[in-house]
Amino acid sequence: MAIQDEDRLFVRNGLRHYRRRYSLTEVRVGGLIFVGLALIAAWVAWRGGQADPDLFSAAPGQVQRAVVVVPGEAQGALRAGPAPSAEARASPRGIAPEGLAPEGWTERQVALFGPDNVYEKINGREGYYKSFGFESLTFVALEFSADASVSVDIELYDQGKPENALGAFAGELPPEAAARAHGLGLSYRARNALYLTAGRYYVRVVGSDESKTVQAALDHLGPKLEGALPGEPLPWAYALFSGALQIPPARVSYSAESTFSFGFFDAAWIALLEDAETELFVSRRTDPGAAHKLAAELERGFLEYGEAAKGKGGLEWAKDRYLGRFSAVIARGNMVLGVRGAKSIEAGTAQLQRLEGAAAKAPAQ
Amino acid sequence: MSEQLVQPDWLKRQVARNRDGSPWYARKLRITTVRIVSQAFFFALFTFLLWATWFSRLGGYPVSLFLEVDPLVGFATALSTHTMYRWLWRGLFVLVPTLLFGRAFCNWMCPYGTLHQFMGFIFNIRNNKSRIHKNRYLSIFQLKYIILTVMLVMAAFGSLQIGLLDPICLLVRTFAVALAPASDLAHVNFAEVLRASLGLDPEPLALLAMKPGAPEQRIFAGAWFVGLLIIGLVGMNLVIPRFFCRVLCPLGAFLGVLSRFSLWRIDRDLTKCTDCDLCLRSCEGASDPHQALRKSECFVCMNCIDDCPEDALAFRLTPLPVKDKIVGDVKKGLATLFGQRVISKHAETEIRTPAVSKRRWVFAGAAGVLAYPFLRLSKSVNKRGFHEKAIRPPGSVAETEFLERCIKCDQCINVCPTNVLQPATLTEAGLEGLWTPVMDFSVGFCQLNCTLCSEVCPTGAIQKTSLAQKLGIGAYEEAGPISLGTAFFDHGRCLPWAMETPCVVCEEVCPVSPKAIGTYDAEITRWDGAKVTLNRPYIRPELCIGCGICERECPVIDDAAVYVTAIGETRSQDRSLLLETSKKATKT
Amino acid sequence: MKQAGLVGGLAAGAGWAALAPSDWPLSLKDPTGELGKPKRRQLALPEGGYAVAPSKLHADLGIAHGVDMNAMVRGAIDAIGGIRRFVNPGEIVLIKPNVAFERAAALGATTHPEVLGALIRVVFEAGASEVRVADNPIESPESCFAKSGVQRAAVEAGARVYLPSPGDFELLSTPGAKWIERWPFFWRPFVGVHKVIGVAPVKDHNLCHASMTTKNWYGLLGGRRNQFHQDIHGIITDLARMMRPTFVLLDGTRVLFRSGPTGGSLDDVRSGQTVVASTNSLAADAYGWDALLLRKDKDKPAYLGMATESGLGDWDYSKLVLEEVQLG
Repeated sequence: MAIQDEDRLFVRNGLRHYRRRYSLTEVRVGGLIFVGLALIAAWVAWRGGQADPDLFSAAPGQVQRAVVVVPGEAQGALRAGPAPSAEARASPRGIAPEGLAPEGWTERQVALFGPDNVYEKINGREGYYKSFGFESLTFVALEFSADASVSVDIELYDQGKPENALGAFAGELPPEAAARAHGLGLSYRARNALYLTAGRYYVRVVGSDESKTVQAALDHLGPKLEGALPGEPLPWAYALFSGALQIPPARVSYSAESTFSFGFFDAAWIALLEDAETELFVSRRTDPGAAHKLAAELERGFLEYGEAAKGKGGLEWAKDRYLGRFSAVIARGNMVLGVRGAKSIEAGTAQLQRLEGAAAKAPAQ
Repeated sequence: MSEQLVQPDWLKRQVARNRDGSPWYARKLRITTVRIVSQAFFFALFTFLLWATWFSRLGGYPVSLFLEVDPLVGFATALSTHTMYRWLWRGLFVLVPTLLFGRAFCNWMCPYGTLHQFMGFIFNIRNNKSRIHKNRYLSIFQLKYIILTVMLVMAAFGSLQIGLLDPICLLVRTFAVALAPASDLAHVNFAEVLRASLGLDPEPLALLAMKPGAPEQRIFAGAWFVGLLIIGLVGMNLVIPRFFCRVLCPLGAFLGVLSRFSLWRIDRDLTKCTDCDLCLRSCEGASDPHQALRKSECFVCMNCIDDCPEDALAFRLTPLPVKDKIVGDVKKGLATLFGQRVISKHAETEIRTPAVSKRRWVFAGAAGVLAYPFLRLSKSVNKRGFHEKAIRPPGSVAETEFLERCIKCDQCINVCPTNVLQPATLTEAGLEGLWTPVMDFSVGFCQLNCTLCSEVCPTGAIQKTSLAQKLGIGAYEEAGPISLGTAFFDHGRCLPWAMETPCVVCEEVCPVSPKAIGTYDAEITRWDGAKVTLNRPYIRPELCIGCGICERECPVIDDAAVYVTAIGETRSQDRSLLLETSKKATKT
Repeated sequence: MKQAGLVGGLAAGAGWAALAPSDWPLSLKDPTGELGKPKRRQLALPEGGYAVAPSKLHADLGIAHGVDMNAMVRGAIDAIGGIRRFVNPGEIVLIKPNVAFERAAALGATTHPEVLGALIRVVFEAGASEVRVADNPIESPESCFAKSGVQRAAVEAGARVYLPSPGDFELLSTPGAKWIERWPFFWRPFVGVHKVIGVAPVKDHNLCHASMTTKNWYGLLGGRRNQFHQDIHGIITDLARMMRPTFVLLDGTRVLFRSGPTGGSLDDVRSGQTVVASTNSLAADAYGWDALLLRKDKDKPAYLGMATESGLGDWDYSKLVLEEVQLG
């Protein structure tokens, strides 16, 4: 059959249709489809809230390190260690202990450098030590008597404060290196090198190769330097984190101000755990009252970025609304202890208990 | 009861029972209405996701969702890389419905199809006779299968070209390169009119800006061509309705091949059909519902059901092939089917496969086999003689793998906050790399702490890259930062070098620490005999990451005195500059 | 007949437009081609800038040391007379931080968000009806504002953030300036503004040696800024001439002492624990040079001297009254 009436030829209403029967099945199918579309829309909206924080942060890794402490600035939390004696300053031997050379080795060169001429010795690297409050460098070169090509260079940096020495030390270690605590500082042994701190001093001992001869010399120099350099006990926070809790010192940092972007939180020691998210922090206040006040302020601060969740023992945890991670803080004596960014309340509680246990044994200042 | 008091006449007509006795909403909510809602929804979602492809809007939105659910993207990259990147499994969300319902994607979800249909609806006004004529099948519709075959064969060899014509890639690219900048140009001028002439605050209109917070209008290489292409393709609807979908679309062809297996299809009841051909009036796919339905062409738009005055058409599950059941001669009108008289003169009800002859399939395959070496042996894509400005975004895989993966969708270009990413022209990347992303530092620069392009890339041509990875910090300290190329000075154009004039903007903006551009003081005797000290810049190539901000900020703007080329990029050994060991040693 | 009238009318109209002398109404005549050239309107900042009347009662330089940024901002402003000396109720105040790069606040390349937030709150306390925050960064504005934390700090403190878009720049005329007598200026945020406050970090800068409160105004300009380095000291002197702010705040909470002005590593930053407020940006910069960058033994950047000679202030703060407060 051909097309019959004119209105099928000349379209008066472009939207008209010609079917005669309608079916409720279509309405039902349509309903199902609408539900499906609504689900898609809901999913997209939900996904929109799941932002990858890495895209919007400005390199968290860049700002993980400790704030550099320079001399001349009021840093109430940090104290200077014993300064080298006047004659040590004057002598070209500087702070280098006598009799460093093991048997079979000779001292080839000893030199002392101050901030003005240190570039002569370590051109290009001096800025690094200066940013940690460099005061002087004593350089001792040891030479193996039997073979002049085997040598060990000892660089003794006076960094003014134990925290600076530790900062310079931590900055040069591989990120996962676990250092050993030796009472006055930390030390780390690499295959052909030895790094250690003692009080305000940071020492680099670098051998010319990895031979047995060099290894033996390093074995000798380690205890010798640890014993001979004047020092004071390891700063309590390093003793706590790297000593008691075995956290690599490169993961320990000191924040002088605005810790975690809280203007009221300063002088905090922070240790980043292996998952690179969870942080333990401690801060010493003048008295228990101040510690309690700060803990309460911090708890409020954490809650500004998330909602509260009750943990074990009635401790209030804050779940970060962007990252979904948990933070909590407690006051013990004049110390404020806390966990930030734990994966779960359980994991956080465990870390907090470890920290609390270690802090209870920490030496009182 | 009280309804007579309040219901106006027009409303009564709207909600009156239908003539067949069904309730009014069975008419209002019939399947074509549902389809239009679905199309509007997906078009809006598509537009929203492109709108959200921008730093301040991105959040966690799956902005490349449509590219990921495009099964041709997943299938072709699986052919070229033998892997399925990140979210490409989402292609199943289209693949499975196609196996059940046929090419429903084309008329229910595809934003490009919706665009063409809507443009035809507005601009292509014809009477029924002419419309029926325009919706008959033409043999030119085979072309899309040829295109698909050529592209898939090339993909199997490692040259991914589907993006040239895949509708989602094409539309995303058109948006990024042509439509969004055009829209922003209009937006800026409109805001200016509001502010200057009417004294109104244009701030609330910021939502309409595609790329807010950019101090300069975005520009793109070859935007004219991408823009004219969409005008041309949309315009072709006036000649052949749904021209792109019927003739060119490789995705449609892919789904068309798959839809031979579909369980549901449009079925014609021979005992009712009067062969009036009215079903062709609004047939979107030109799939011949009036005779033997071409399953590979049918878009499942359901318009034929709406247009059939005899109610002979329906969308049915596995309809039986009825031809064998007919008793008698159909042509003479005397046949019967299950005891009922067959009215239609056409006994066939379906053609399952695309109407492409075997020899044409073979020809297309052979063309693909030949096209691969033709493209690949062009100079620009090889390790010798590549173009020095073929600088890829950070996180890109090595060039040959890049060409296996990049679908030219230009989402990276869409999200790039500095406008540095540009669609490659034939100059930088040849035909094989046409419209793939390259960096043009005369337009923008690669921002240090930005990895947005790696987030939105659907195929892993730019691999998802963390900031730590890009900067070479933390766990990536050993690997070092990602370098896109290396900067060089043209001493003949550099102000302190050639013109005795102070400058060193390049040193100021160099974002790495320590800076890869340093300066030394040079005391020179100037033309007038005066002794002056100039800061002359130099490059430390081991520190340079090729971000190009020096080139962007160089005051010699037409042909910068410091410029970055692709040499020294870290994504492959082929284009490295310095000996690996020396690079590491100098860094520490 | 009707058509003849139409043709006549059109011909007469076209003749008038093309031939009538150019100062007659509706004339399009342009014999020299000058009239057809585009005209850009030129704007000027108010006479005397945004400065308030000088006062002998207060210190010229308010210097606050401490760790609490909020307290330091207040302390420094109180030392130069308190915010009510500068901002009257109902006024619209524009604050110009330095957000030139997309770096985390700790890296010292940008104004610290907390200092900015404190400043906004202080300004609101004086009764300002609106506070605007605007900058035209080097890198992409949205990222710079977001990643430096400035966006969030400003919005949370109730300010309105202005990011530059292509239509936002107008030619600004600065009579007497050497280079930028007419230069594109980020004008939109300045519409209706009563007071302007700059707040800038302390940064090393290879070419001009130090980027502090005076160089901060660079971020209000558009156009070909990369030409400025050909005479950077002249340009900074021009900037001092162009903008006479209500007062400036030097954010010395962190000091980017090398690798400036971009930074990028904590090794380049040290803690400064200082905020300085002054109506004299040259003196504030000179103080920052001596006390924060610790470069007292080196010559001051040349622009300080050039600006002083041009009568735009006096950098020599030893002649001025300083009030130093130690907080916490």
